Amino acid sequence: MPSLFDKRLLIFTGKGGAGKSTVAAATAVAAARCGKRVLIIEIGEQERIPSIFAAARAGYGGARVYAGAAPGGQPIWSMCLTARETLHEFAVRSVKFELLYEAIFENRVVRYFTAAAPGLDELTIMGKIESLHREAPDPRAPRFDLMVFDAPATGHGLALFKVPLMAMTMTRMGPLHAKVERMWRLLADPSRTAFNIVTLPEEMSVNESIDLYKAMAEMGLPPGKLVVNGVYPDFFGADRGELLRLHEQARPAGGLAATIARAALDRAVSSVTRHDMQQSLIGTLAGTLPMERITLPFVFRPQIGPEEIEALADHLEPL
Amino acid sequence: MHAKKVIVCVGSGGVGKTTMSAAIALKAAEVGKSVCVLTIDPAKRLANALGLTALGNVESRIAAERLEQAGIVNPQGQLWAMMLDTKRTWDDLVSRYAPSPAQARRILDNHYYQQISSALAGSQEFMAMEKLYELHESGKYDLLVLDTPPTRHALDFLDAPGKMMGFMDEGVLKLFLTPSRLAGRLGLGFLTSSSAWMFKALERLTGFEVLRDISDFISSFSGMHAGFRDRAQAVEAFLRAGGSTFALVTSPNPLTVDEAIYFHRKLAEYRMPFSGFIVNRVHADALGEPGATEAWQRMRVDPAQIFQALGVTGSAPLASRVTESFDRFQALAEMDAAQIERLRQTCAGPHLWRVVPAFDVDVHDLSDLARVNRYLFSEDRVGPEAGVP
Repeated sequence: MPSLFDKRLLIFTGKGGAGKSTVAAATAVAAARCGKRVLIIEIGEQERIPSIFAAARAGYGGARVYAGAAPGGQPIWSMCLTARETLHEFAVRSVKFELLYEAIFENRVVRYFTAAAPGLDELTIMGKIESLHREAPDPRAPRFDLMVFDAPATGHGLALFKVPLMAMTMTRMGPLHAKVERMWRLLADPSRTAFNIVTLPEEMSVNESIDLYKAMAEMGLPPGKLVVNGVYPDFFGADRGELLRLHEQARPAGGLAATIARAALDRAVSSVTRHDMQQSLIGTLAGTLPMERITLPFVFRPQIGPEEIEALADHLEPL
Repeated sequence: MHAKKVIVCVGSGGVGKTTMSAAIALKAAEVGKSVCVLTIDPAKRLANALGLTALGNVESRIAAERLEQAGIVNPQGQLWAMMLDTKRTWDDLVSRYAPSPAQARRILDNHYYQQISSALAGSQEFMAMEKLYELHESGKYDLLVLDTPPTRHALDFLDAPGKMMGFMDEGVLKLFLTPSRLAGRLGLGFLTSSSAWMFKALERLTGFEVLRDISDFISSFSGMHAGFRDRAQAVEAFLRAGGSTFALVTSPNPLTVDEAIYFHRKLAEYRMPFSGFIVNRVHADALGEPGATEAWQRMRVDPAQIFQALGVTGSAPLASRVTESFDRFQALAEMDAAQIERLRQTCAGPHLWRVVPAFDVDVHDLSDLARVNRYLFSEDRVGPEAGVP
């Protein structure tokens, strides 16, 4: 089976809070280790990726955010797209002159129209991603081998991917039709694109991932991997029986030492309970979704930084 | 909660907004209110949280027996829940404001309308506001609790009524009216040169067909603008009024705390009434008592003491595993406390603060929600505030 890193566009979506940005960053590191020139794309006002790599804002123009720890690897680039800047660029390119842009897009009528037209934001963002896949942002540099798209959560993510499909039926002909058709062809092409789902081993996240998979399959979007993030280690292994027995037998706490000892034992049992619950949900995922699964361990660290990302990338390198 | 008519729960994705919204509603029902919790999340999370399998665009009542099964003895109020169907809310609104059924049909059949009325960002948020207002106006409920999409779309959410008002502004719309004549003019060059440029550029950008769809759509709205605009203004005024309040839900994760800080600032900029923070999924500090940290330091160098203190006998490897796992949990608790402190420092003010611990199992039914409420609405505030400065 060809590697996921040989594709052009890896999309990460899933329930909010599942760790899409972290997984996207770690995937980029894993691909860069294999010599790929990687661009991470995120959208919105709040940039996350550069801070994960302890780098300065990359912004709309994009910037190198990580040099990589492994020798022979490629540096990683990141870019944060906002609908406003994307529309500006698109419009200036289309009308050629900045002055005309101002005349047209700063026009009160048009501004109202574009601000209120739902779907336009999504369309320009998808258009930018499609053009980045064909050409480098800087004409002097080679284009990127791989784009890793840290996409919005389930519902808004689906809306984003649906837009080119909708726009195709809405435009029917003309220059925009050709453009949205190219966007859709890229999204739906399994040789270039893979939609990966990031989930936590938690009930709501798992349910949402199952719904998301179905919706993506219905739309004809090519599935990639299912990344189960934040998996607790089996901390007690064979000792779990003894632990649970002692927890039963322990007498009610009295005094500081006993209170602390009790808390320590409670926390230990908690970790066993969580592990079991997670494993059973991972079982549900395995039985429901025909996607190849990758599990990432829970990170017991205050902040996800380059070091943590490197460690997570080890789990993703065989992608 | 008692003085409010609307509570809007906002925050990043995955922090438990749906759970908190449902828990607040459950509490309101417990104390005698008729309450409805409304979610606009496209992923049917509330259905999960409430153990309901189907939520249409109509409110459904959670049976009193189910509340009692969840340990709420003799609930005084009523708990209702609803999942927003964006398209249907749009359709209802169009049908209500269209001067004739034929005009309503013309809009409902329009291509562009069909696209914007389905699940696209922005439209959804506006319709949530609309539905919220509609429920408020129905007078059926003492309290409405609204669950919202993640903060990355916060601006969409707060901007939604304003955006729609801009769109529905009659002065602007006039230019788009009578699309067929406009279409003719584009070809014939009847417009002044600057307008011609503008529309030519629009045509190049969008393709002609879509422009016609939009113009058709807008023209079929003629006579309805005033109704829509008044409605959007009423919704906005209602949100800013004293009866509603925003609660910010966050987790102690550093990235979500950053987003909470950002969102708190945005709420202030928009002058939205704000009541406080709910920090969810917090690892509680088990060493909060005076002297506890020192006592643990002594204990952890000789893990056998853990079992001795509890009067049980366990193996040495197990004792050291327990020690290791406790240290990890405590490290998480310290990280969480530091993040909460950062949030408090940055967003100082007379806010309410509630801390809900990370539970070992998922919160997914009513009894779990009742358990959450012990932290959200505790009288003594010892439990929930333990470990938080």
